[in-house]
Amino acid sequence: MRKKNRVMAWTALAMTVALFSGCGGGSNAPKTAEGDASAKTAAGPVDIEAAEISWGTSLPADDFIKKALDEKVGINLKLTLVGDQNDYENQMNVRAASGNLPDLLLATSKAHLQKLAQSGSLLDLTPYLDKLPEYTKFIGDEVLKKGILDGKQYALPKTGQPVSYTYWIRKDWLDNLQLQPPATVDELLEVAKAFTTNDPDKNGKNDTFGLTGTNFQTFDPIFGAYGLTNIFDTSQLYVRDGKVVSTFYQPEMKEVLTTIKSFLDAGVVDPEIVSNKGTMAIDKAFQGKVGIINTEWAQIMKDDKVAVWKGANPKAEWIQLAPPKGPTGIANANSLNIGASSGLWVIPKKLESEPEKLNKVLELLNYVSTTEGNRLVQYGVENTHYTLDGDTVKITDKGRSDASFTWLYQFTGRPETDYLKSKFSNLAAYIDFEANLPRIQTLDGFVTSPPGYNPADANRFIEEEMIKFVYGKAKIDNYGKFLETLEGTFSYKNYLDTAVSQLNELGYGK
Amino acid sequence: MEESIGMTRNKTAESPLRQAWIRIWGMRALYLMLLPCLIWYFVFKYLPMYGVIISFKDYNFTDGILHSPWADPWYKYFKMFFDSPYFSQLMSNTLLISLYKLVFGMLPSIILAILFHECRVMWLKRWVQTLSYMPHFLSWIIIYGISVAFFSETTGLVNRWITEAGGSSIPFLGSTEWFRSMLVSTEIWKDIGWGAIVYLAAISGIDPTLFEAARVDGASRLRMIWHITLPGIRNVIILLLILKIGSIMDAGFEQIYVFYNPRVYEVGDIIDTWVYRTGLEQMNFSLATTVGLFKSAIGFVLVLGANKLAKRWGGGIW
Repeated sequence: MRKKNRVMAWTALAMTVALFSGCGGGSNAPKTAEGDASAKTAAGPVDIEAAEISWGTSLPADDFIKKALDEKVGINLKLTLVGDQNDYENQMNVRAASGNLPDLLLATSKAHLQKLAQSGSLLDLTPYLDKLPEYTKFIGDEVLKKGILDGKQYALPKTGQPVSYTYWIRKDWLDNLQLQPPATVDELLEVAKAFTTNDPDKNGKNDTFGLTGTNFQTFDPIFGAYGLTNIFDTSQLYVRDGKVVSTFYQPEMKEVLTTIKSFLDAGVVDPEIVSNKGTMAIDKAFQGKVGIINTEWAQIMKDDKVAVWKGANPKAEWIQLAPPKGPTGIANANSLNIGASSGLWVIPKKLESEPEKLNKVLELLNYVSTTEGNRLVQYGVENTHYTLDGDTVKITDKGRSDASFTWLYQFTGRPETDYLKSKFSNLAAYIDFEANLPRIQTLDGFVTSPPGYNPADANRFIEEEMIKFVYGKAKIDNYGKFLETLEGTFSYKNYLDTAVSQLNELGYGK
Repeated sequence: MEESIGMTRNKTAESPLRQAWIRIWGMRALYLMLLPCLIWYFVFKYLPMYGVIISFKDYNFTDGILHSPWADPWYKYFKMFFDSPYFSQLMSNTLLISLYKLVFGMLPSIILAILFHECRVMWLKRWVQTLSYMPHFLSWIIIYGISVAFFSETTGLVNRWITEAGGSSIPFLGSTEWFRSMLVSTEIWKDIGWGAIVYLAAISGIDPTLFEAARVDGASRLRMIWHITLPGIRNVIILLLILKIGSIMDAGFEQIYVFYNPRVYEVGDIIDTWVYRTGLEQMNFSLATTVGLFKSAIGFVLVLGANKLAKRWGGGIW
């Protein structure tokens, strides 16, 4: 028969496991744990489990990084990899509920960190920073601050920048139609129109669209052109004119919606942007059905991606577009949720009673922060995967082909520019371009929702109503009514007031 | 005198128990084989039920199930669920989608089973039957992929036919008008053959002499289906109906979670998907449990009611 639904299964699982841990819990739990730890000292290498999101990367059969790390630090390291963020968070939440967290795991955002810390699952690492000299030196004080929550160092952040998206456009289509890359939102609409109706691929068929993407993410730069941020719950709050504001209350919001509506009315947008999932949008771009997409260099210019779109159409050529300017000349590529770090490593509280294990975890973090250890997790084994010429790293052919998974072991990150220049030497220009795009810093990641505010309901309402506005199912003149319902029925007002006072306390927009 | 009456009463009260015990002891081998199953049910179905109390608690991980504080008021999470602006929509979506699946999902399976039974070319029957239940083993993700390949508005095969025939393409997967039909039809496609197996088994259990007698009397095939096959599997149909009514609050989370998108929330958001977004993604396990309890309570009442109703026609489960 039909399977029972997943939620119930997980809840049941969580409850069962919690049940057993509840039975055996109480005062004697730490004792047994300590017993375990000392037993393991005698047994040799310490088992350490680290968990993170793999985004589809898997470990090879011959995992030379693991071997090297195991040997150096004296551990038996096991990576638990989960393919995507939602699944990862759910798995970790369930494991937190059962008191069975990995020894080192990635919190996906400040919000996730907050939830884990509030549930009491995390170890406050402030007293252990002394034991992390290599790590603290490697990432620096500024980055270290990102891991502080309520004055406690709950997380050890990773260095490096989060990815930034921008519009990518088919250069060969522009050339075919003798058009210039669009510089303003109006020009973008014109080019998208031409891409839709003027047969840019010259195949004699009316089978192309101007713009594609996944949901409202498609329009990031258009929001940015009006100085606004997108509608998602990671990008609603930011500082404008010295005050914390919500993007929904900005006077330009109606203009943005009108502009997006004009794109949709013109029929230049892939009609399926709302139902596109996973890689569906970029697949359409690669198949030559769409000429503009909001994405990042790694999705387009990495060798395996190039092979895909060159394979579909040898003449294709993608270039980056600077974010288009709005009516007042503002341009922003997207927003950057500064509450979310690119990686926040946390250690579960239970390791407090297993000092042997905890020390090994800290040792591991130190080691991958040293020059030697960091090179290992960046490039692979010296003289096999890379060679050293003084201080310059040269990647060998073997390194190029075998070391694509090593980022999984870059627990503390890497010196970004050096790394990318060595690893993707031919793509440095694209990487720099996206790293330097103007972006609005959003603060949603720092906010804890007040009781009585249900983010899931509010988000659904926001998304649905916005879709109605831009698809012409509701009049943009009724925007006021939307705000009223959002404030009242969905208590967004309450949320916003709480958010502003919380953010003021943190020093934003005072 | 009085004493002796009392004693005989005691004896008569005790003896059925003892008789039962003797019966059980007599078939102890069978009961022993049943034991693992009972233990499994006890450990995995009954023991976890004590976790239901977290729907009345502010559950957090550190304190665990027993030590988490009680919710104040005790119906806090029920209120949260009932107070959601989307509550009535979620209920009606769940019930409607379930009902559609129940009605449109059972009939095709019954018809298919009868067709299989009537099919006289054995190799054809065997092949078609195997093929028909193959989709049951595909995951919804794969079926969604197949649906996109056929029904996508821009790249789908069906829409290409429509546009080539001069029509305008139809957003099968992204419009409120089509979404439920897509859910029901993919569900039928997936489970039609699988569902037919039970009916087919029931049909083959019908006494063949009935068919022979009818044939001798000159009954046509349709007559035989109407007067022998259908009445013969009536009990099985009612049994399955009752079982399915029990899970009417499950409209198929796995399928809908894969298929839906913000444009069709209005007609596709069901209780389970809401729980997933509010309960699990926000780590609100108390709320998730509360809704689970609510659904089970309704399912339980419905099963009892349906069984009582079925008994009137002599077809109840117990």
